[in-house]
Amino acid sequence: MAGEMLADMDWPMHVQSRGTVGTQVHARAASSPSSLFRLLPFLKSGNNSFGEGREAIDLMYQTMLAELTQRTMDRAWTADFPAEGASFRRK
Amino acid sequence: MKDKRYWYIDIPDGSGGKSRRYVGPADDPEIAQRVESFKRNKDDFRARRRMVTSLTREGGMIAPDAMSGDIVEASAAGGFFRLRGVLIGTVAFQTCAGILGVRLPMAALLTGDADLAQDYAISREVEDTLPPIVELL
Repeated sequence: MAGEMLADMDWPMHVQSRGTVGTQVHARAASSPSSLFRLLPFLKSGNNSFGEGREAIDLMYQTMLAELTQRTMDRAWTADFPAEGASFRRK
Repeated sequence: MKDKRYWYIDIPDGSGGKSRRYVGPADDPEIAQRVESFKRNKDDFRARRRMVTSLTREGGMIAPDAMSGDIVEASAAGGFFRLRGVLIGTVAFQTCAGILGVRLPMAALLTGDADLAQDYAISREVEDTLPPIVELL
């Protein structure tokens, strides 16, 4: 199952690449972008050794992460689409 | 003008200094509202920075190295994620710690690169593009 998912994520890539000091940056194009989140049910299922022996993160910090994610997405939305703009539908 | 007060905002110039920008007269209610909104945003930004510090120092989550973080931030500001770009590779995997609720081995995740993927067909269809990547960085 995981093999199929990983194979599905092996996209065609390499449109351009650029190196910077100490870090490589690869700007890649994907013809069928998939999401890392598709792997999560498998990783959480227990049919793997991913979580074996790993220390759990306290629920308080998981909750804090969820709040941070929501607040950051809200701010990003406001920055991308200021209230002065107007929305409309288009085909 | 003498005896009149004005709002200014100092903005980092990216090289350690600040550039000062004029906002408007302090007695203008609309300007005062905008400055108040700016202060609220600034407080929220600081609060979020503190949350990131707690999550990485105490919560067991992993932050990317500074260079990778700057690259992802610049890409986001340029509209990369708005145009349906996704993080892949090491930086994407680092986010799994928080999502799965398990501590990941730090050493295995520090590869010092940022991998980004984007379907260019989306940009073409919505007639919107990122600025040249070199300008973003």
